[in-house]
Amino acid sequence: MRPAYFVLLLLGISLLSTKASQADQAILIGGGYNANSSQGQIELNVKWVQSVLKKADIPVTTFFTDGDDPGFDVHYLNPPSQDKELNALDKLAEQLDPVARLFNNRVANQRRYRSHTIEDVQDGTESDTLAKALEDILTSKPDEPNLIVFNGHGNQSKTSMDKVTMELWNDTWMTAADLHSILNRSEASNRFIFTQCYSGGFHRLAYKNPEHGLELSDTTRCGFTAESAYRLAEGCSASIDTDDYRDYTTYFFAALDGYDRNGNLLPFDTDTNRDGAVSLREAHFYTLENAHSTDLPRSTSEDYLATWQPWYLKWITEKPTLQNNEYAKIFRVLAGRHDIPLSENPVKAIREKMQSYLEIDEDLKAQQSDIQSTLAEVHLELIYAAQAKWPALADPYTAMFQTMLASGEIVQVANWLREQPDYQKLVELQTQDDNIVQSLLDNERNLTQMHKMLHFRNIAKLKRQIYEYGTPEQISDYEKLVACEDKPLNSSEQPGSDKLIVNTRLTD
Amino acid sequence: MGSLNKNIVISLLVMLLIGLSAWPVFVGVNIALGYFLGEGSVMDLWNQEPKRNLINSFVDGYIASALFAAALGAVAALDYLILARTRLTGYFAGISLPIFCIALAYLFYKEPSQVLLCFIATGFVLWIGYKTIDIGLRLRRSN
Repeated sequence: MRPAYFVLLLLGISLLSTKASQADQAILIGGGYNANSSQGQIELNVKWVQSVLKKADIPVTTFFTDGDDPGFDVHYLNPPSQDKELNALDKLAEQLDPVARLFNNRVANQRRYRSHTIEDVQDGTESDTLAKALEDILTSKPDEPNLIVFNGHGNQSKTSMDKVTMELWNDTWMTAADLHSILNRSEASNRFIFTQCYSGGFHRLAYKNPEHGLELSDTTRCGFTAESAYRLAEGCSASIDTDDYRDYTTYFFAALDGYDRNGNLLPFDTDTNRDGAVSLREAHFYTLENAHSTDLPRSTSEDYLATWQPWYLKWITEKPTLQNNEYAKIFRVLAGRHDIPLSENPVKAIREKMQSYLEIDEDLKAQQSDIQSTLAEVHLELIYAAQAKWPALADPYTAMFQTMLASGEIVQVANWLREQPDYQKLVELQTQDDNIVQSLLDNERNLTQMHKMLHFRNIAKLKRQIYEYGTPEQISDYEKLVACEDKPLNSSEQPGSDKLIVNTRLTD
Repeated sequence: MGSLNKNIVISLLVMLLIGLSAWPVFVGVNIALGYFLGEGSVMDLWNQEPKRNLINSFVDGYIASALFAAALGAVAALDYLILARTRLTGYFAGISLPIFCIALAYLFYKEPSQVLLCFIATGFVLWIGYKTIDIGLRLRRSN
């Protein structure tokens, strides 16, 4: 081989390897800390996110609950429905419904357990296993950008933000500080999408000191969380009806994919800057504008602005003015959607609406309290009546109780309950209680939209302030985070490149 | 000589009072303005974050603003020594507090008009505090 060709060949190989090393890899972590906390929604979310990532040509390494262990690790609800054929278990559950209602096991009676059905799961999420696996992945490809996605539960910290947790299989956990030290092994940029309760604490991954301070880590890290470090995220549903899902994942990945999780095309193009690729930041903004849930999501750059705000600006009440940036746009869109007049003092109108939602909340809770006290009385009367007839009902998990179950006598109890006038009352009251719980949730979602408007109005102000009062280094750090968030799902893809990106199906 | 010592003691008292209360007054005035104008991100934080965060932030602000608070206290003491001596100038005694606050807004903020109201209001509330001491002591003197 001529030396010139050899040199060209070497150059070609090195260019190829450079390209390969810049490709993203995704680490998808999901599931609850035991089968009872591993709702069907989490499993479906992980499956869906996995498919969206694969469609974007991103290699995905998935960790889920107990890995490939065949034991039960997921539960879902199987509500009675007239449309479907009932199997033996469903029929028995339906027969025993009165007994389940009597002993406050109404929801548990509909619960079904199984092993997960997610494909290509590398391992389980027990904290030691996961920490070791993450270290291996990050050290084996230290210069490869990572996208870490977590779908599960989290716990708050009463001390500092970096002590919030991802709750992992077998009642283990990993704090933001733990993950921070693992990420220190990576020399590439890392992005994350965390949707659990109190997930906002994980924005501390982006900083050099996970506990406090404003200095960013040596490698760029940025991400998106469903909530702050202090609030619960929209609950995980055990329902398998995906139309019910309103969590951050549902909106965020729909924006990236261009299709919702049921496969329906989104009503508008989420590539708002028309550069041919939907960035994570665009997906975040889509979620902020469209999700009507109890989540108040935030990105690392937004967290940076709030952390940055100096003492001489934090307490100041400025003249009420709307800024001119993307966050003000979100405010305007939401204000329009919730009938907040922009012409007068919109913040006052928001606070008035907030007050009305708080009053509704109080009313609903008072109604709920009345219903629950009546329910408790009816409940007790029925229990006493049933126990007078079948004393073994008082002590479940005993030999006498077991005999009742084995002989089928428990079905007689259920049939007897159905004939009691108080039983109908019990069913009615429980239905009313369910309706109140749903109304409370709807009201909380409305209230969150008001909080969201105020929050992003404030972020709009902070963005203006950092350019007015921030040092050049702080402004540069802020812009670094925004640039990190503004990359598409596959960060090696340049917007407008020939290769198909995940949402190009929008133009199909 | 006795009168001079007394004036120095009173001016030190004024300096201490204004210096120590400057930051809490500033915060209180801003919260009140936030409430009346409908703005007030601090009130939202009070509802959305643990109270300890805001309390820490308040304490941080107290420490960070100490230099400005001390300057304000010194201005108040000087003002007392110069203006509170005669009945005529006594009417204007304390005027330097809102003026100094306005000057701070113009010196340290990029858009003073955005924050002027809260600095003026802070100056006036501090002036009321100053006047309370001043008038209180005059009444004692006249007894």
